[in-house]
Amino acid sequence: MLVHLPPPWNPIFGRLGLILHYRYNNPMIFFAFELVFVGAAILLFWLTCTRRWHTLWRDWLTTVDHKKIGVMYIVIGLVMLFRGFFDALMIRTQQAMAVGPTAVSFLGAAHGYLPPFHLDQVFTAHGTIMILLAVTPILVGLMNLIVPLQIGARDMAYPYLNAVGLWLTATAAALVMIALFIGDFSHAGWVGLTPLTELAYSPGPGVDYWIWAVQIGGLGTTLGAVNLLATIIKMRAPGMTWPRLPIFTWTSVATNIIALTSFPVLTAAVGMLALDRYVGTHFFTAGLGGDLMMYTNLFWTWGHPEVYFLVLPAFGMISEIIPTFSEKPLFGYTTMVLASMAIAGVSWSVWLHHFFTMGASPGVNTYFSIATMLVGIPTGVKVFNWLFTMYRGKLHFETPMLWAVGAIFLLISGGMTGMMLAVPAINYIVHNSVFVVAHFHNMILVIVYATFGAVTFWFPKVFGFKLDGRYGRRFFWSFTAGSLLVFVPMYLLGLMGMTRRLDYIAHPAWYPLLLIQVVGIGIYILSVIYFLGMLAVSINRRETRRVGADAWGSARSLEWATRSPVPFYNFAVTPVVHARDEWAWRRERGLTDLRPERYVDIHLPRNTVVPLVIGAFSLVFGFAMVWRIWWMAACGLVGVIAAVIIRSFARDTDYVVPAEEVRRLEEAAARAPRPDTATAAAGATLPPHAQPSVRS
Amino acid sequence: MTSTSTHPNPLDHPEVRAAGAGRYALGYLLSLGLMFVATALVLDHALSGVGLLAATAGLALAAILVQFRFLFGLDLSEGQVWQTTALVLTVPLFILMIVLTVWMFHTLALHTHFPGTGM
Amino acid sequence: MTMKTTDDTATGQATGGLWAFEDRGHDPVSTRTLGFWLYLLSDAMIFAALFAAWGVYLHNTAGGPTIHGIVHPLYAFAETAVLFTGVFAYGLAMSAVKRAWRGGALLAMAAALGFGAWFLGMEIHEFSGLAALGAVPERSGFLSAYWTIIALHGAHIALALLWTGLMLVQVLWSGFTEKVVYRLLNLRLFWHYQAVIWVCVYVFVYLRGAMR
Ligand code: HEM
Ligand SMILES: [Cu+2]
Repeated sequence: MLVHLPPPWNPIFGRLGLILHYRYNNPMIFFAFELVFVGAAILLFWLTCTRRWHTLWRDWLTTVDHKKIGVMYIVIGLVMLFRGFFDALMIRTQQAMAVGPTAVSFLGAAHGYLPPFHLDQVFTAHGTIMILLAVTPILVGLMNLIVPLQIGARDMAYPYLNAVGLWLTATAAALVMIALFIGDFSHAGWVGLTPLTELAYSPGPGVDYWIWAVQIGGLGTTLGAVNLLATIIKMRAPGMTWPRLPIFTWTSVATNIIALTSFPVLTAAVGMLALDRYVGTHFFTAGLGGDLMMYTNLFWTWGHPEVYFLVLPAFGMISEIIPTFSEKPLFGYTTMVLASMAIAGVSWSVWLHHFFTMGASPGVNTYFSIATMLVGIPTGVKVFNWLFTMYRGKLHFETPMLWAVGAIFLLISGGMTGMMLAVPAINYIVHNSVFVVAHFHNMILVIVYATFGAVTFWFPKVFGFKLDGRYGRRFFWSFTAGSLLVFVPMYLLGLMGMTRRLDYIAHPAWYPLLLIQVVGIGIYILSVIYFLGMLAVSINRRETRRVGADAWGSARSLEWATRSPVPFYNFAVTPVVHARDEWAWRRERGLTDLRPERYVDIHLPRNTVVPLVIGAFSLVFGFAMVWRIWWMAACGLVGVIAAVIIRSFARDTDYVVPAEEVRRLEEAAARAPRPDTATAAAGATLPPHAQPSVRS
Repeated sequence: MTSTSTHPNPLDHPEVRAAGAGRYALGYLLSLGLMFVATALVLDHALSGVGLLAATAGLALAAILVQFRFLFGLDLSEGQVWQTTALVLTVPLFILMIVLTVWMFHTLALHTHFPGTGM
Repeated sequence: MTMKTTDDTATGQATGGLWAFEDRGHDPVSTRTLGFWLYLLSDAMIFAALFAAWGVYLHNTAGGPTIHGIVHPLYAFAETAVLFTGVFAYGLAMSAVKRAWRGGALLAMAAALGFGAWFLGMEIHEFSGLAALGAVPERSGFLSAYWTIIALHGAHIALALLWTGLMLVQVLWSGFTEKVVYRLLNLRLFWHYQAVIWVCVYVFVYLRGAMR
């Protein structure tokens, strides 16, 4: 059944013998190694010195609280964003160094300092990480954090499953990080170009790392989508009818419909590739009835909906931020909802625009070209709605608003170049040039901008204090300068004919533009420093930056109708919803007192270690599959199944916070609303009976 | 789950009450019967190529609808409306994906493949 | 297009208060079955992707066996009958659950297990016959797709068997508690879903192969 592989392979260590053949003499790998291990060591040391192991275990690793899970998703995303940024730094510097025959050469590279095989891994890791392990977790984390609050729920529909999704995502990130040190990573681009990813052309473990990271992470995202959809359908507070649903929650509906239906297609495509590599089938091989374009087709059948999966929550964030800082309700709520749904629908009918050049008939290309351009209509509706929301509003340019407005500018320019690419005649000229790379970075920057805006916007809700505005603005402007300097020249280079993924640039005329890009990436480094500065300053001075329930004074939706930081039970008593912008409705009527007439018992799910265990076993499974250590893979799989089965016998999975306890906590918070919990999302620590039960 | 059930005895839940041996039997016999008809049509070569494909596809669709109605018990009642909505939103995507894929590869084959080599 | 802040309470619920003290009680059972249903739709998308590919790979025989050479529609019809009977048996288990008849539920679940195992046995028999002919998945793109679709459906049945076995134990262990009941309901969805997928496999793979 299994494919025949060249040695070394043995039943105990699988292919691990291969690592003896890697030469670990690359200073960059050592640098990364140091960064990761020294960083980890410092973290462990700090945890031990400050005796935080117990807190870490109880409040984070075993939690099923959607807010903490959301925060952990975002932390994973930020860490991976940082890692992906390093990759970007290497790509930009390599290309600027490797221009023309007289290019410098270091470290055994013929040009620049990265030999092709290494650079190929770097850009593959960059793309995979940024899309699947940085932006996706941050968005999923924000949805996790905010959606239950916006609909007045105590938690997600399935808190335990939520934690499973988190740990599967963490596993995927861990696999990519392990690939940095043990073996290598895929060199075939984030899209996994076939037949390059086939065993015949990529015999090493790199592609296998990519496969299992994508599969395990994709499963986590699918489970998250099920959870968010069920939560929104089933867990809304009384009065939270569909026409009153906050707009971010609406975009979460649209985006999770996309995730639910498109991620399985990725699973299928990458699964077929895995069968080719492990069993020897001929799905995408170059011969024996394999069809390599079928991979491209299936990949983009997921891939295009995926880009809208990323952008729709960003649209939702912009739609929350702009009304708050314009002191006006969102213009055209209904059309916003319809536009989101239309985008989700149309995104399912455009994927061939990623391979117009395949050679399908003009009829096919025309169909997909027109369908692609149709997306412009609902997107245009959104842009105009935002503009009309700001029109005659009382605008406050606080940091979240800067990011939101920046995102609109980026959306317009990226959308325009998308429209250009959607014309097959143009596409045949610029396909696979860096013009395309500039286009999609431009679009993904829309998401990044909206996300940074959203993080600053909701940060005080979750942590109880605001991020520093001065550093925030510096971060915004340096990030913007960096973005312009990197991506405007990239558009130009694309039009000048520079193809993507080049290791050597034969055309010296491109050198100045490449240099400008390096300057841009340098400014990005500055922005990272401002970002860290913003965190440091804000955390240090948090006592002076505390906020009440409505951190911005002009917030509108339901998540602001509880304390900041949000208590672990979200709302002391479930709110009744009267209007579309419930908090604004209450504010206008002077009903902002959060003290209910009485308190009631609250049912909450108990902590459990099972999701962490499932994540650990799936990491074992993934690692073993990469190195084809069959006994170990079997152990990992059996471990996952056993954990699920054992958990299914647990009876004691919930607990009750008695009404008296809620009163005590609420009154304590009202008296001293300044608990010293810079890192605890939920402010109040868990009461003792939230401890994991022995059985689960 | 975070809150108590509104149905103290889980066996009183409407979804449990919805089970019905008769309905299941009907779904079972009808879908098996439809598959039998499809088999008979094919083995008889009763129709020509495309006609046969269309007829069997129609029978498959009928069997699936029968199963959705009688096995799953999908309808527009309060308990099932979300299930039905989700299905109705998803089915077009199945169709889009399969039809568009077959269409594009069909025209691609006309452009790029030598007919009849099966490669 | 509304510029109003609010749609007023008139359209909403009767309550005048700001807080809902009655825990309206989100219904855990139907929340579970809805989520599982969504998951099944997602899972069906994997099959949709495979069927999309199947429509293309059907012709990619690379000089090896063709579909006409390897399918036996009558044998596959027998498989259909066995599988549908298993699915039906699980339905009967649910109607026994409805009457709180533990023995009947256990018996019908055991029957479903039996028919499911029988079906898997038939499938394994078919596969070993193909392997003996040299019609293995490594032979051509067509055979890769053929084996993958059928084996993936078979893997679902195997999972259904595992799960049914687990539920037998849980019904014995803790009776019809809320958790057991929603798992039984979800398992019902899972069994019935296998029948739907099999209709597609049977018609578009097996019967397709018997057409000239
Ligand atoms: C919603 C945000 C968007 C994102 C995140 C996005 C992202 C991407 C990505 C990742 C790629 C190609 C990746 C690759 O080849 O490796 C791409 C290519 C493309 N995008 Fe977008 N895009 C977005 C919006 C749009 C819009 C609005 C249009 C047109 C109306 C569009 C049209 C295209 C076209 C035609 C290509 C193919 C270019 C080629 O490869 O020749 N995109 N986009
Ligand atoms: Cu696209």
